[in-house]
Amino acid sequence: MPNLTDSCRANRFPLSLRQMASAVGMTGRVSARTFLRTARCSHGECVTLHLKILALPQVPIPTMLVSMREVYDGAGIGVRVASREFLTGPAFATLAVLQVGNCTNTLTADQIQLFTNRNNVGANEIAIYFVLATVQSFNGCAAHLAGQPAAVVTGIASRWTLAHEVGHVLGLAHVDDPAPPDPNAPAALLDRLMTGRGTHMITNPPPDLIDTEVRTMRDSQLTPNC
Amino acid sequence: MPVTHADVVNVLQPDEIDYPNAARHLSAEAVPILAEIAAGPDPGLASKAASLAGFLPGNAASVILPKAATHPNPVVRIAAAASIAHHAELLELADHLAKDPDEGVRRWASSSAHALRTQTPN
Repeated sequence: MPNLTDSCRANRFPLSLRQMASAVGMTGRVSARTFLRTARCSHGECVTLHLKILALPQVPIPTMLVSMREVYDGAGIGVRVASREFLTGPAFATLAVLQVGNCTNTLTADQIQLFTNRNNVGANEIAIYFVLATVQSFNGCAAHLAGQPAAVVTGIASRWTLAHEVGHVLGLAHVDDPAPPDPNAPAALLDRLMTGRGTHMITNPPPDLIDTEVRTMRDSQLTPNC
Repeated sequence: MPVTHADVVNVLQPDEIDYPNAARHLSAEAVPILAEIAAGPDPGLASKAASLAGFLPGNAASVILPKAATHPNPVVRIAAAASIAHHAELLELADHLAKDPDEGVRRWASSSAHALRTQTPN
């Protein structure tokens, strides 16, 4: 639905399609397709996501998108969903439990195979793969091939995991690593999106992005003007 | 300082746990708590407890993975099935999970059993 598809227009205007279109200066009859594809945007910059769905997470995807927009709006970055695609069939049933190893920059054969599915994903756009689970078990994993920005979000993700993983893709690191039980663990920063202690633990939502993080995100090639 | 249930939950909460590092620093006191969590109602924590068990030394996996292997949520059983690949002593459990009703569990259990059989001389 439109209000879940494009925060460049919809998130700020949770109204009917006609009202939303009117609010961004579009007049006359406007189809949902036209509305979503038009380049006008109330944010300075936008990140564009393509959702590739192998399995539905416990937290609904629309909840993750709304939560992501709560955070990214504050950074002046719109969140566009340019396409949704269900990846089904035997090959994808296998990849729905994705071997990611320790989620490092050394990708597994599973990750490489999954990431070849980039239908409709343009340059400087991000593919998000919703899978049932990863092995090892993670809420998400932002490791991806150079030049093919992508992240994986699993069935056990929190409402903030999507925003957190895209934060990694945009160049952000955890702000309170290493995590316990490492004796060098610093104090947890549970009001920050990029906490490494688990986005299920986030307090005082929406979580914060500090100025340097916002600058990193907005400097990314993946947040062009919109 | 004694390890509490809350301490262990905190270890399992990160979106992207550094499993090798967590296993390196986790005290043996955490093992029964991990087993309890692996059988518990939160599939996210339970599956991470099962994944962590794969990295723990000694008999920790033998305590934790049988609990995870009977979890009603297949995501937890998948994590258990995958972790068995690191523990030859749990080959029987892998064979058991290879008959699980869930296809994903069967696939990962078969893969672990195969890995153990090819690693372990007869």
